[in-house]
Amino acid sequence: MKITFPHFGDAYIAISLVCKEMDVECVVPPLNNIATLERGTKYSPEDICLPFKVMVGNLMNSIDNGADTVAMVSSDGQCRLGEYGELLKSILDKNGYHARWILLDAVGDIGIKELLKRGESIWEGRKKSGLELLKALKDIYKVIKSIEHLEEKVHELCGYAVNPSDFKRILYDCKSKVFNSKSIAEANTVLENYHKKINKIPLNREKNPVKVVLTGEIYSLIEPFANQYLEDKLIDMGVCFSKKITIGWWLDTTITGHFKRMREIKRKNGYLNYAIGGYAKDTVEEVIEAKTKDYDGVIQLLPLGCMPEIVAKSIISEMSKEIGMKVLTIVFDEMNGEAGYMTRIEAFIDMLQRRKQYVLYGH
Amino acid sequence: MEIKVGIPGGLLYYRYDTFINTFFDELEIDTVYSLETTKKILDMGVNCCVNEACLPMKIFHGHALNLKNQCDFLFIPRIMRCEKNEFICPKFCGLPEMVMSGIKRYDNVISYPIKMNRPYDLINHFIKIGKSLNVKEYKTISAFQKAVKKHNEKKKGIHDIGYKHNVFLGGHPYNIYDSYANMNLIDKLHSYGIGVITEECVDYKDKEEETKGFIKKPYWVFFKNNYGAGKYLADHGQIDGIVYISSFSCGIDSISVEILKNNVDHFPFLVIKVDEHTGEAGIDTRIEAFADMLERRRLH
Repeated sequence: MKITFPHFGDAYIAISLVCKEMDVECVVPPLNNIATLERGTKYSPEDICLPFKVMVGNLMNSIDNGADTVAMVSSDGQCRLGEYGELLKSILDKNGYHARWILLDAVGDIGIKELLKRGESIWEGRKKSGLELLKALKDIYKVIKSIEHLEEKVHELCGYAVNPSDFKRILYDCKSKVFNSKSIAEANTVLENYHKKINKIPLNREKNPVKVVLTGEIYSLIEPFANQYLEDKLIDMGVCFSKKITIGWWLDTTITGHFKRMREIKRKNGYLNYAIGGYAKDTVEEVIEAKTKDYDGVIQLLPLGCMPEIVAKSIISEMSKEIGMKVLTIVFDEMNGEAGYMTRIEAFIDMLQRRKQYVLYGH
Repeated sequence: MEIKVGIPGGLLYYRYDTFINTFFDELEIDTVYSLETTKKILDMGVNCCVNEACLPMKIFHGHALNLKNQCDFLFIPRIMRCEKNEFICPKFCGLPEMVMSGIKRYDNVISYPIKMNRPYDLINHFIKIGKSLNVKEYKTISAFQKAVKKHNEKKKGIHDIGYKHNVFLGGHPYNIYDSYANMNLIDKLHSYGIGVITEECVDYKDKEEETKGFIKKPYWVFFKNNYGAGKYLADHGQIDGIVYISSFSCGIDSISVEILKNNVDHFPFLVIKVDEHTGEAGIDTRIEAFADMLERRRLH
């Protein structure tokens, strides 16, 4: 049995490490590129959101490479993500890409027993014990957190760097080394090294970089291909940024920190008081938070037609005027007009820079 | 002072119209409706709504803006849940906020969350509405019960008899019954001798049965209804084709159309997408071609 999964940011690093550790064969789909998207777009319905199209391409590529089982997460939420599995299966079957499907569904929908059963089926004919799996999962969680910690540091410091591309290079190096390590333990040593390395990059504390918050739809934030490598571009431009929504955050909210999440969902913010599905409420709250934490602006990312984020956008457009926060909304679809996106982002950053100077020097 | 409640006639008003009308009539509250969609309403909506939203959302914004200065309270239902584990589009849950920031009216908007899967919550919601309108609780409860009764008694859906061809007309109620948004689709189909059946005329159990084979239990009520009804009617030979009316960038339809299409193999299937552009000739041509195809299939 060869397992595969659609890409979701850096999740492939973690999944392939766990599979190595557990002796489960897995096929990592080729990294997302335009060819993947084109292949997916060809077979997907026209109106579906961008992540789906990329995922169709991913799974077709993996099945070509010999995978025979697809594992993916699902949700019971209101957003389309929950129906992805069903539609993916329907489309792949129709076009002759047959595979076994293991859908890791929400506990509320299928019950914990069924979920564990499905989880176990990924792991058929196992060579390792359950205890070892638990340990591997615990260790990989640490690895994920460590990578994200590194990223966070980069995002925080890149604006001060003498040469911002140093940061970008080090991040790419680190990720590829972690992906190629033979065990989780090795990955941990690699990461420790890089944590030390990152502290040695020359900084210029005199600088006063623009600080923005990245928010919006989860896939667009986590998968660099889906946002036209926006983070790399911001690093190159010397803009500091922060991003709450990451894979680690997702794990925390859905698995480990469930009760904390319930409290967060109930909290009222005065602009959007109800969790309406997806992460629309978080998006609205992050804009408010950006104001209190003194950021210069917010960039909201969403794929075309994303239902929850449209609501968020609608609320933010009035709210941002009221609280005095600058927000740029960027909608991504399968058209790869990179120049268009870049122009808008550059203009937005320029505008923030000018505002900052104006306020600082009191002209 | 008489209180006046404004009721925009878009979106799910098309499904719960009897309920809403009876409820407010029983409370003896003055109401002002904005029901008929016109070019003017659509233009108003397009101007005040976020541009990524779908056509029915924009129409609803138009109706709300139309009522903005004519009423003391604006009734914008926030429907969060239908049956157990059944949801609707996220835009409905955030509808009041969307409309409020769109038409720039923030006070006196009735928008308590409605969860239809919990009868207790549901009645509480309406008691709250009654309270904010200064109506006694017992009166609200009796109005609620009468409205529910009338809603259940009302004959829903369209089931045409006596036409040469029959098709299943799928889609959201606000696309099917708003004859401005769908450019008189039903009349046009009738003029070609095509009768329509809508999802309300298929038994709930039959619809449920059709979704049994899925790897994921469907959770959108519109998806389940349209898929279940379309598949059931097609499998039981009650229809000659499927016409699906959908609005551009509708998230739910993007999935239900594709899954229905993949599951009724080689069956006449016409998907009509509407948006704020009103190019009627294009739709006429497509309906005509579809009617011709049905006719040919019958002859050969």
